Amino acid sequence: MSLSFLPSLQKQVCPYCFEPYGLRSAPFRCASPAVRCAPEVDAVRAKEWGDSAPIARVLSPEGASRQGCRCATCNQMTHKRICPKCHMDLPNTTGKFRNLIFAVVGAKEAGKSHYIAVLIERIRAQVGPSLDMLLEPLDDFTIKRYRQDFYAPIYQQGTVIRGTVSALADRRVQMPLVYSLTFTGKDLFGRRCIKGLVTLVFFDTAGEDLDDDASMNAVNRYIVSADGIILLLDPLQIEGVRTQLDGATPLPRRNTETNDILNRITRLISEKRSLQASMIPTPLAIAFSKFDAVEDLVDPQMQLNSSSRHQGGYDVADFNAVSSEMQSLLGLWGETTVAAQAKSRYRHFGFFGLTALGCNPHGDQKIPRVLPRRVEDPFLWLLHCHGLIPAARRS
Amino acid sequence: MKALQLHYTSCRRGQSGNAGFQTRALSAGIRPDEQREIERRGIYRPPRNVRPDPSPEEIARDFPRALRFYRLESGRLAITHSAYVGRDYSGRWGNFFAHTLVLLGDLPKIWPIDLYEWTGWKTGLSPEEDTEEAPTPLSELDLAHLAPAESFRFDELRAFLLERPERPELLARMGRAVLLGRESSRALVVRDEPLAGLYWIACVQKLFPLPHAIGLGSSTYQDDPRGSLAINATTGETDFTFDEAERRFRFYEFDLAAGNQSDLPQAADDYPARVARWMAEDVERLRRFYAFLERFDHSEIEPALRFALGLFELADDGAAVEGGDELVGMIGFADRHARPEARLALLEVLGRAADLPAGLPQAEGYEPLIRFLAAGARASGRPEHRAFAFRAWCSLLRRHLLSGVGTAAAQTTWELLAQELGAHSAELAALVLAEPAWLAPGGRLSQLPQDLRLFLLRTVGSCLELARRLPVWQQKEIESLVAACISGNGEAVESCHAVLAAIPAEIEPLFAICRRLRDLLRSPNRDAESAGVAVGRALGRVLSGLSARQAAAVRLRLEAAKEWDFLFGEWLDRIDRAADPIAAYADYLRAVLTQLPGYQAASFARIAGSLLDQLPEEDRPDLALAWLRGGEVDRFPPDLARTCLAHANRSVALDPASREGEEAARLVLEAAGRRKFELRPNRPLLRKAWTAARSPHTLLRDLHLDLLTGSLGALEEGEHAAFLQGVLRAALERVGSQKDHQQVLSTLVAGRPDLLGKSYLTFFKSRPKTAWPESLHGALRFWLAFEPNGDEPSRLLAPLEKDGFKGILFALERLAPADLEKVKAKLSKSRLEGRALGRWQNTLEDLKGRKKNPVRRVLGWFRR
Repeated sequence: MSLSFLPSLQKQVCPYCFEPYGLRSAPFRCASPAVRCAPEVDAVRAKEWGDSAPIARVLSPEGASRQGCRCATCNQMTHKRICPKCHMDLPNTTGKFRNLIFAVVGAKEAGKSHYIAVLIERIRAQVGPSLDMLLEPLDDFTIKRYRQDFYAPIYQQGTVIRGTVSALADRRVQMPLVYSLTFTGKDLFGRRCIKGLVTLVFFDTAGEDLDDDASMNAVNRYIVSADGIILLLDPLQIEGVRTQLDGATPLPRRNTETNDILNRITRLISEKRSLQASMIPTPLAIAFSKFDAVEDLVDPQMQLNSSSRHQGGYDVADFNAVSSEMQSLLGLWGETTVAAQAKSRYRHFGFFGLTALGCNPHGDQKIPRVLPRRVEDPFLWLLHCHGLIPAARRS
Repeated sequence: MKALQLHYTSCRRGQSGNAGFQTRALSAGIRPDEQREIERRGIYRPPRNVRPDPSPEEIARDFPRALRFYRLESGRLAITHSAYVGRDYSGRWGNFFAHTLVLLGDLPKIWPIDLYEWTGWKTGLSPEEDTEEAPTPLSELDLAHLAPAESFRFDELRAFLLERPERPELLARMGRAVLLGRESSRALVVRDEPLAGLYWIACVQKLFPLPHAIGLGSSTYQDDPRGSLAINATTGETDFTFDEAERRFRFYEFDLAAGNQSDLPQAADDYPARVARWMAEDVERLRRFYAFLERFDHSEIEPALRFALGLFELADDGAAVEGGDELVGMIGFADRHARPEARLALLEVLGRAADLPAGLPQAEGYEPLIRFLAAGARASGRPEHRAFAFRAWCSLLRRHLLSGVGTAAAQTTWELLAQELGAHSAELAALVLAEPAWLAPGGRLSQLPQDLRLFLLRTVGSCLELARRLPVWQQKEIESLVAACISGNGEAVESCHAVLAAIPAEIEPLFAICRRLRDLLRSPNRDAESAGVAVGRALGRVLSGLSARQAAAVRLRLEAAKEWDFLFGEWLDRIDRAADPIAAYADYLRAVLTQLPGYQAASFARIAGSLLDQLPEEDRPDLALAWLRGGEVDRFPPDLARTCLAHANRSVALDPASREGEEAARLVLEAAGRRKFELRPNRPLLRKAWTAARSPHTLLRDLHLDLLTGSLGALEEGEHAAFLQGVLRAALERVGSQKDHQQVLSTLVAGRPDLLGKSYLTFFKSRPKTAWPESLHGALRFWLAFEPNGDEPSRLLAPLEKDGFKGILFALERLAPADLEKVKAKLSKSRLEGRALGRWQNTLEDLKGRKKNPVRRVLGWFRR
């Protein structure tokens, strides 16, 4: 924590428009209540986000201190920074703590929204406390959006989440969920203390936005800046699996673009980060969702079938076992492309099998009971890759 | 009218070639940027409080359809109809179908809301349509025969408004919000039941005439605050929070579900209030108003629409015209936006305003009124219409100009009338001249600001000319106005100049007004001549702005009338303002005086005298000498001639080295002789003495030292010093006796011994032809015998004694010992006694001491 000022010296990336910027060039937004300081139209925000309703004033960063700026109109001090490019409010941890952007990508119907919905609830309620981590939303928008669009359908209404509209059409989809993740522990004297804090930015992506390069460039540029990618793949799209199941489970319609997504993501990162001839350093978690639907095809003795137990840190031995099992399963099902792509282009990758809902809601679209398994594994592995969680068991 | 189409939904195959949300099909002609914008506008998220898995009946009942009308950034109008579909091809909920029309031209004569019930809207894909086959492009639609929606006819809206008593007032407030939102960027958001929300949108749209409503973006169902259009309806739970901050600052919200509303100003009689009332109570009248507005080229939603209402009421109801700001606004509105056919109809309505007893409240208000009336009168060519415009100007004159305000408006409108109705100006002139103010006693005109008085002077002059009352500038009205113009406390010349500048720059007006001004300026403290000169000064400023030919013509007229004072005044003003008076005089001589011989003969002496007064001291002698040389001085009165002679005398150079001085000395001497004028100093005489001193053959008496005493004393110190430098040594070298030496000194000292002392030493320091000439011996004997307290001449020379002995010692020191012995011997023959002997011995002692000084000895060698 003593080096907590370091992030302020680094280039930041706006979690909304993904443009890099220096913190010193980021304007402020007046924090006074609208009654005290009349809002006005923010032309930049209107242009970038179609929001032309009056909003709190924009204050120039010139002459402001590192910490805050005083509004010339109402004389109120504000610490609320906005992106210099798109004028969206930045998380209040910007410049203070490390930002980790995690992209959850996958083809249509891969279960991205459901995965995010369950993952956040799992970390908040179960995994977090056991690993001395506290996950908290950083703004009202995140609280509201998670509750309305993710939590309520699954946990309250017991129904599937509606299909995510392309971010090209609905700008709300471009809004990330921003959380802080606080790590607590004990210091040398045995006293409880905060050992670290990171800002987590989750993006839920519409599958349509991964269908072509143009859409990727337009609305998924965050993938280039991502600190970790969770690629969700639907095992029911694997031809070998569909053949073996042969009517035992309702199958979704074939989605031909599944295989192209990893390729498209790899090309996007390579081009934007000039890594055509190098391995991509971004950790890639290839997670097969809806694993409950293929349970019958998996040897019951496999580690994959058991729940993970990350006690006191990340269970590396479990990860190694699961990843290996998953790769051999893919081999058995005749799916070798994804593993080959990951091995040849990514420095850090892992294979996971998980289920967010624990059931297949095809048909009536109802979720009788949420029974997630191994949902947190990819996420914890990414934290482990960034050194935020220690290894608990290596072999 | 034609329209392009676009379908957006979640389908198996669309424009991306894949499945999912996308533009499924579109017409050729929709550009990619338009497609992106349409996709954003078509997004539909149902309210959160509806069932997540609704039946088709529930969809039809609880899921409002969104009809969004907006202008694309490309400028084309678009209407999107978004309807909830339910499940998509994959069985997932959340699918919707957005059908957009991009209009190729303006909307047919219907309000956007009338398209809500259009049967051509597509609301979903049948399973047969949603296949893996590539969709075919959509055709271009012909919307020429669109009819207004039955549900949103005015009668239906009236019924909706009358369902609840508070609704008309609510609608007025919504309309007010729309007007305010144009400035504040706060959109109107109404939350109500889906059907009521639809009607509210219809009412607000139809609160404005069709051309205006086209400029209002609207959405019958909006769930995302960020994409809000100008007027929006919503229902249930959406992304709108309807909290206080949103209600007070971000939107104008009417949350009829919760009973909360944004604060809006109350107004019983503004545009929204009146139209909402008509919509609820008198639909026919509203229709007539919208028909009336078709005569105007106006489509901006702005508060000024109330002026259109006012005009409608005047025209439709024959309501009495009332003055005030409202009328001014109506006039401005009509002036700016009325089409030609409307102008004629409004002429008589607004023409009545010209005769309002109180007039318009602001002079500026007459400008659009008169412009409107004048343009209408020109178009109709009817005299009664012209009379409206002319009477309006007279109203401006009576109500505002004669109260001291509105000059600019009066000038503009006067020019406007001349431009529009110039052929009938005589009618206006007759009306203006009929005003009693021009001849009214009591000096009301004199209370007006000067610029206004001058404008009125010009205007009345024009009117008199138009009325053929000649000579114009001698009419009583003009005399009255001129008197008013110079009656203030301002400086007379400035006032006169303003008057003269305001009238036509022609001979007779200028001549007549100059005479009138002189008469007005005369007073017990100012005689006719002085008044004439003052007017002349003012006239001069006017003439300086005219061409040389015009100015010369005016001057000839003045010369013919022997108005010397006016002409002289012009000269005075010219010389006063000239940076170089001599150049100005030369120019005046060439351009004016030579052209006006009578004036020159009569006034040259005045001109010369004024010029001399104006010139700097150092420039006067040359000008006086020139006049002396040219003979002009002979025509001057004696006093001026003497002044000139005195100035010319100063131009005589004392030093004979200056050859020009010889002619000047001669001219001055001759003129002084003729006029028996005593020159003091007599510079020609001093010059003569100096000249004689320079000649080796002249004698002392040729220097006329006896005549110089007074003149030397009158010289400047510098000149006196120069004269002594040139004359003293020569004079002293010509004398040998002690007495003559004293006489020369006494003559030339002229009360300034300090000046003499400096020149006197040069006499001793100059190297004589012999070792000890008689002149030095005379000086030695004079100073040995000098008695400072003796007679008067001795006392005058007492300050020179020290310099005298200093010079003597210098001369003796220069002598060789043998020569010194000769001096001693010569002096011993003079039998010096007493005081003189003592002085001589002291002098010899001083000499001895100086010779012992080693420095002086060295210097002495050099001297020798």
